[in-house]
Amino acid sequence: MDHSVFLVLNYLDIFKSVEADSLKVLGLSGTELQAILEDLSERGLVKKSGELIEISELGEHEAERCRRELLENSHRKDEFLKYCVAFEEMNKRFKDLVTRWQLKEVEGELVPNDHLDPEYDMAILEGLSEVHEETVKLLGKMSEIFPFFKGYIQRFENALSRLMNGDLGYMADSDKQSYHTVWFELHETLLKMSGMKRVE
Amino acid sequence: MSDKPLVLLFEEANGLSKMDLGGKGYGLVEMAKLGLPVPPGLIIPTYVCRRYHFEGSLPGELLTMLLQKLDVVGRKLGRKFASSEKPLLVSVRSGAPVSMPGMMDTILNLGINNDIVDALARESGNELFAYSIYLRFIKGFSEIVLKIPDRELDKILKDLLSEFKATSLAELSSKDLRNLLRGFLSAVEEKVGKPFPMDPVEQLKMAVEAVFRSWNNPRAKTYRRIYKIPDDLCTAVVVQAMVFGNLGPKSGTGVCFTRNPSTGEKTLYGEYLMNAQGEDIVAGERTPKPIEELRKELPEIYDQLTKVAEVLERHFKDMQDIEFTIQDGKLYILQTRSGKRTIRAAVKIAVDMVKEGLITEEEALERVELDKLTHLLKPRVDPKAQAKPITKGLNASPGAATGKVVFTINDAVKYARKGESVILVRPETKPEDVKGIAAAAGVLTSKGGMTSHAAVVARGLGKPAVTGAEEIQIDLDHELFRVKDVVVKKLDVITIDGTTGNVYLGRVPLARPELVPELEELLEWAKKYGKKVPGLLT
Repeated sequence: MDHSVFLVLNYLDIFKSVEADSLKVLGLSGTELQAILEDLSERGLVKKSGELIEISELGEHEAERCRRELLENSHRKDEFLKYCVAFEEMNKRFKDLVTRWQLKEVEGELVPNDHLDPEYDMAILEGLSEVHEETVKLLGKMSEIFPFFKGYIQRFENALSRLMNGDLGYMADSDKQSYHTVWFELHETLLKMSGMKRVE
Repeated sequence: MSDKPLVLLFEEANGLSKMDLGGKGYGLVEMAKLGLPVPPGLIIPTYVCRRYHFEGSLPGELLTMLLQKLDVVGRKLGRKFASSEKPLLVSVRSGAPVSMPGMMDTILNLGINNDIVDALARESGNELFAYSIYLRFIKGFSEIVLKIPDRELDKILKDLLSEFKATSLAELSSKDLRNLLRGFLSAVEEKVGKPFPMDPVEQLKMAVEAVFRSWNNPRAKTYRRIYKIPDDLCTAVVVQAMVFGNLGPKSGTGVCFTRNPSTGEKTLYGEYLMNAQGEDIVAGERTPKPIEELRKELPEIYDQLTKVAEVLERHFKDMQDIEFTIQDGKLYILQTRSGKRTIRAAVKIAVDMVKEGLITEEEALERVELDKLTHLLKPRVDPKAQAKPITKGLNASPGAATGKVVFTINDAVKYARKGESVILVRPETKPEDVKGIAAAAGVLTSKGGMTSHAAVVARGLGKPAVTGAEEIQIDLDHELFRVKDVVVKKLDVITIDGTTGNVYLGRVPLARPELVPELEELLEWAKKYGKKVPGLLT
């Protein structure tokens, strides 16, 4: 399957139903995206419901089949699986940063971070920059095997840049293409591809 | 620009603004004016830093001016910079008009070399003190001005100490101290490939330039970008006579807030270390003592500090964050600035200060970021109701909510649309569930920790969440969950408290936390002056 088609189908499999506009984050041109959606719809893999695009059960199976096929057909499968394990380590660090970003211990109690202490926030942002640097390296290696991972690099760069320009919601807000939004999508993709279980 | 003075003694800077003097310089000038015990010093204003970045070099006449003024500083103390008789050592500190904590550079103990260290040892009768000051200077200067990474310097020092079979300077004989110093210096010189500057005037020039340059270091630039601080504000440089907190058992150093920055309570809050220099508190190698203990250890100093705190608060009409040093039983204040505080403390301090007659009600409202009050307004299960939880999970996102139980995203959205309050119950949540979390009044999961997806998303949306409530067994097929012998079906009502992690059957009375009684007063004033408080429903 074409990588762009897989990208769209996989995205829909993770989010199930999305507004057509939100697919723009995948970095495909409008016409290309439209052609892909028409193709997927003709094959009964997605359906339009009002403003929303939903994946069908058939689509879910197809996404699963594609992921398996991609992995099985790659002669660098073992290498890729190693990267997935490495990502799990990054995941622990990232989630710890996000939690500290949102919750702060004050007098022994966890309270929402009021972001009134720039020094506290800055330390977390510096931690994120380190995680980012390593994640980009890891994604670089992954995209040598499966090129569609390259798209995540750009999306992380965007989130980090917004964050580093003072838009603090780009750390974890779920209604934005925040670092956490992209991270969770990537993590879900990696779990689905590798067949690993989520560790909490 | 050219007729503005390049260097100002603290007493000459009266009337200049924080924009010119930087926050640190401004605080020192004000304190000197108030007659507080501030070591004498001088300020190179921010406009000189702007000129430096524009021209690419220090103004030609700066060094001469600097040395002239430093002479005046020295005379006040009966000391002289760069002299091996009664030498004057100085600190060279950055200070921007807007607080940028820890982003720029500071060099301590400057003005020392192979000759001056001996003069200092003779004068103090304390060789260990003199040599540790020298070592600290070489280390700090090498890191900040010569750009040798701190960890490399630490390693050099550690290796040298182990050559002398010691773990700290205190264990060394006078001869070994000298040898270690020599070894450290030559290791540094080898790293940078040139001699270490022994001329105090050269040290001073290099340090001032390094502080100016630090305005544009990557961390400082990032910080400015995030907090929208203009790039052309630039930093001032404060050059101040050193006072030593490591001169012996009657010396020490500390930091304190004039009120508790977490709760706002009116009491000195901070920590100190005896026989130490300021950086030791931050370095964390020795554990500082809470400021309360200073009351017992040095009661006179504690009383004096309390008085200083009062004077500063009356003058600046705000809670202050103070740095101090005790040199041989005498207190010196090295810095004061408005203290950062939690939103909870901000409310209490603002209201208390109105009652103390320091500020007006309207000023109090300006002191508090009203849009952050939602954090304090989050309801909790009323402890007076004495309700018994059916189970407990992790307190993943603060606040409490009551609602009908739903198990699917579609139901969450459907019932929420009808105006019903729902609690989304899931084993764990996935990206596809975000819509459901957004629609629900709260989230309960049986799996997942404090860092789980449900927790992160709920916190981001400001919704209460209890995660990892392992006792509950969710049966998605029959849309129910069990806890021990209790069965909760779809549309049954439950209450969750994300502050405690407790889960209750049915509707339980919620109450706004009584964390800050002053909050009620502040909200009254907000109403009185027509200020909107986002997130205030009642």
